[in-house]
Amino acid sequence: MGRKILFFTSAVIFIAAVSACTKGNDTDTAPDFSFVPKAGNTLFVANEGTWNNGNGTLSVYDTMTGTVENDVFFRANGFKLGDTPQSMTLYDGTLWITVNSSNIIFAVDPVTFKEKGRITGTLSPRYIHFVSDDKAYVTQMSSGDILVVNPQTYSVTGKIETGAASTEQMVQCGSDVMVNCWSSQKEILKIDTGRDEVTGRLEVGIQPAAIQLDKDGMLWVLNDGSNAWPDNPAGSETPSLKVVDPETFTVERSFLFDEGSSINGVMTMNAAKDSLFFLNDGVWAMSIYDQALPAEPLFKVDGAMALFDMTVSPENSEIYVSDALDYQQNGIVCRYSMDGELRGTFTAGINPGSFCWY
Amino acid sequence: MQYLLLISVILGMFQASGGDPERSDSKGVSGHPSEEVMLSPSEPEDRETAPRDTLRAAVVSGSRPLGQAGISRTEIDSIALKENISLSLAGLLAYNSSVFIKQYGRATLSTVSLRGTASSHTQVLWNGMKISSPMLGMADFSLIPAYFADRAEILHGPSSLQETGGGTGGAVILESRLPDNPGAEVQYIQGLGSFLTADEFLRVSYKGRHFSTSTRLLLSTSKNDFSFVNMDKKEIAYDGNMEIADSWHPVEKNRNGEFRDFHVMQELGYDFGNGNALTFSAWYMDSWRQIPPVSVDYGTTDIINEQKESALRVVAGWTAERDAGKTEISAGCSLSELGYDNARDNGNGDWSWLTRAVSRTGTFMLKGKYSLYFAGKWMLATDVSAYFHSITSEDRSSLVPEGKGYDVSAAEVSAAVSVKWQPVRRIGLSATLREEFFDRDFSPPVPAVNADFLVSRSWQLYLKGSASLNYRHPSLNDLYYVPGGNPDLGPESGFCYDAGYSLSKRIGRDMEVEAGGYWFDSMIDGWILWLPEGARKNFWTPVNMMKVHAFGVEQRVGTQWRFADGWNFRFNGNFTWSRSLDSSPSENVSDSSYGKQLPYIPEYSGSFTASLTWKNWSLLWKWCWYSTRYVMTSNEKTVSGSVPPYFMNDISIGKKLDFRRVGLSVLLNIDNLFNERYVTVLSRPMPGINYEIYIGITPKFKRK
Repeated sequence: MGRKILFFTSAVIFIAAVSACTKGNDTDTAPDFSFVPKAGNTLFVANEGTWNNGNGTLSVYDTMTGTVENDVFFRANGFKLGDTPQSMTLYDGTLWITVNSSNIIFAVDPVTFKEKGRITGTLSPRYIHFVSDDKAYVTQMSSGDILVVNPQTYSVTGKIETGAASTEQMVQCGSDVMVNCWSSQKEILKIDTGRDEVTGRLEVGIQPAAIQLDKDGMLWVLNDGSNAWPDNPAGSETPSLKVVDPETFTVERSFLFDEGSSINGVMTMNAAKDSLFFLNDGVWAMSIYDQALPAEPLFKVDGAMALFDMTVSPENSEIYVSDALDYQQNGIVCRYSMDGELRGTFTAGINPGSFCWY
Repeated sequence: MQYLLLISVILGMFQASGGDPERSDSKGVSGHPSEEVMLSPSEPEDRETAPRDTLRAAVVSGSRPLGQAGISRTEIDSIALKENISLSLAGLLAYNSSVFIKQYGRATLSTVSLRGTASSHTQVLWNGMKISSPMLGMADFSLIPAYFADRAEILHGPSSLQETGGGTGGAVILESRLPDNPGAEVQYIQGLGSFLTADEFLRVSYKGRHFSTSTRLLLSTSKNDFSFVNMDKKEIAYDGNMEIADSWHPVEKNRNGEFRDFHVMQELGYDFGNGNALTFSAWYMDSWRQIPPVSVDYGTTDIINEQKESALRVVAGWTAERDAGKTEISAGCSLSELGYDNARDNGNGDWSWLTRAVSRTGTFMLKGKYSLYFAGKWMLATDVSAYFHSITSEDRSSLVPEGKGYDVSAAEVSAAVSVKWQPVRRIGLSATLREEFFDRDFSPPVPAVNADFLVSRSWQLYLKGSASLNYRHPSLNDLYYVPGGNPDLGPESGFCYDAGYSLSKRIGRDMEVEAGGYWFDSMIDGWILWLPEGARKNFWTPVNMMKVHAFGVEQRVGTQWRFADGWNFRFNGNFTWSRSLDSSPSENVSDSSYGKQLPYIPEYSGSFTASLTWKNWSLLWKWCWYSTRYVMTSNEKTVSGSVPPYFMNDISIGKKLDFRRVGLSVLLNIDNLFNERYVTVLSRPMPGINYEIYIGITPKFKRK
């Protein structure tokens, strides 16, 4: 009897000891990066992760050596970047990352990847635009209000009531900031940065997804048209490209894509701001002076599964295109010359959805 | 180390207590003689002296009736159901079977994965009626209280076709039953625990010569604001120059995690005494649950993120047994309303609504089953079931105040005929053919074959095997959700087989052992995946995308040992090795998902429950372990791409007090005994060590 009791006691303590030895991952790690980012040849990639899993990451790519370092924010800071990093903006030597579903904006040192500060009190931040050293605007998805923040004190100092359901990208046009209102909306807004007020609104088409300012000061608006969702309350139409004169705040020119085009809302410009690039089942390019949309893509991305985002190098105009693959694994970024020659690929994080040059 | 001390103290309490040789109540909840008993080819000589009923239901069956020829099944120990009234079925299955429970937090969505498949590949039946949501195609096991199940059984893989189609992974069969003991019985249990948790259980039952009734109530509430060290975040402190001077992982409270679940079940039965019986079961549920944000949410304003669900499920049935034939006819309905609200305070009292979704589902069922034993060695079984689903779904938000949704109806009919044959005493064979109709489409005929061979009578050692085709129709959300539903979606199709063994053996007078193990293998084509679609990843849409090869091994062992006078030891253990591989080659060389384990399916898992009873004392240890679960299809073992393995230990110690007029019981539950920091879903923290004490009162009524 005594031996049996002893047997059970021993077994219990053994299992307890084994079980007590298991713990989850501690996340503090020492950074060990293979290169130090240098201005002019560094590309940052914000990877959205899988929504609601909190696994968004930051990658950094050295264009000179073709070396990539992934998950650098976590490795440098010992905690996660968050859920769905949406965009990045480099201003005055600081990389600002809006993390949409985490409701935070991180200010990061682009060389050490260490956090310098953070702005909280946001509702699904989408983009940050700097009006001056001590004033920036933050657009939000969960609210139409644009936040006014002081980046020097990392604080929210005010807000601009826009009357929109949500706001997206921003570009500076003189003393005004132009803002597009994307999801289930049709407008772009003009904001007076002196008064922090909406001074104009213009219907440009269904779901204006991206805006860019060309070298002549004209505003290019890409409307995705919600053509894949005919029941969108905002309506559905063929995707289009509109050119808006910020001075008169009117649409000067319109370009209609073919019906059924796979416009995914990504549009960018080269450093000279005279050529426009967008994704439409391949990479397409056009001059800002073209009178019609191009008939053929600049090049196709062979084997691409899910073209996700694109950027053009300000140094040599190479085109970088991200492919999210199946949206649940690390995506890849392909590097092309202007004539479509593949010059390299690198693996980033899950859903590489935003680029920023340093 | 303090935990080891705690164990020693608990053991010390046991050792310090004296006792008489009586074993504590080890009789199962159900006293119904199972088919297994009636048709068992060899009865142990000393059955009446051993608590066999406690073990025989615990693991893979030893001796099998003809109706179970070749069937791979796990019947959850009736004692486990009784011992774990505080658990949802999710918690119960995690410790008592080979399934993987994917849990988004305490008292939040819990889904079941069987044999490497997805939650939608497990069918769930309650008293013969499917209770998986036709809209979502799956069931939330956190909303099924173990207290309401008197019998729980898992049919693995091809064996699920005996009951229903679409269970590529298997089926979970739940039954509530009328009382066994004549007369009136009342049981009330009050539980109070950590995080302001309160549980109330009440059962009032009566069994007469013909008429029986049972009423059960459960109310569970909790603030659920457990503390945890958030390793996914750091708090920072600035110095006077607005530079970061310090940073640390914060200790946070589980925010927005409160819940209140109410369940009531009424059962009525009338036994005519001539083989005819009428039964009626009604189960009403009302649940309100807040949903905590992910661990990387830095939001500072108030949030609304909650799920409200109410459901009424009713099943009425008639059973007639005549000689070797048995007829069962039942009708039922399930009416439910599911609401989900998600909003954030803009900081000025205005709310931004991301979602205000509500769906109403009505399901009506008619079902008939007939089985007949004939010619001594044959059995014929048929069943026909017809479901009619009607769904209204609407989703409003600040962005889409007009709302979007769908309003559809769909019929679902399933019919099967099964022939079972025992050509010689040692061999059982079964062939089943099932045909299904869903919405607008017929599935091809789905055949299944099962066989077993009795190798050793003394060990009740059977070799078993089965094979089948299987189809799973898309859920109504897959077909019609707005935006993104794909009406052209086809069913998933698959072929699966398994082979294994089961045995049971009495060793001496005091020990019984049982074991079972299976190799399983299935190939599923057209696996449905939701992928981003439309401009700017505006919404997602389902596609028949993937081929999946799932295979592995399940192993179970169980034993009961009365090793000393009055002492009783029981052990049930499970181990599963489950590979579930993406078998769709990609043309893109960068796609690393081919040949990799599917997300959130552990390759290895194990669990056991061990209980020690002495006199009126009981000690129960529950343990489970899961290996790494990947979040990414490429199986990256990074902090963002996987969920670390973990062990989980729960323990409970109980004492029954027997008075002349009343029986009392006291039970202390300690969950997460070693205060593990763990998640089952990325960025969804789980509570550390927590406690709940239960006090049960059972008045004693005079029996005639």
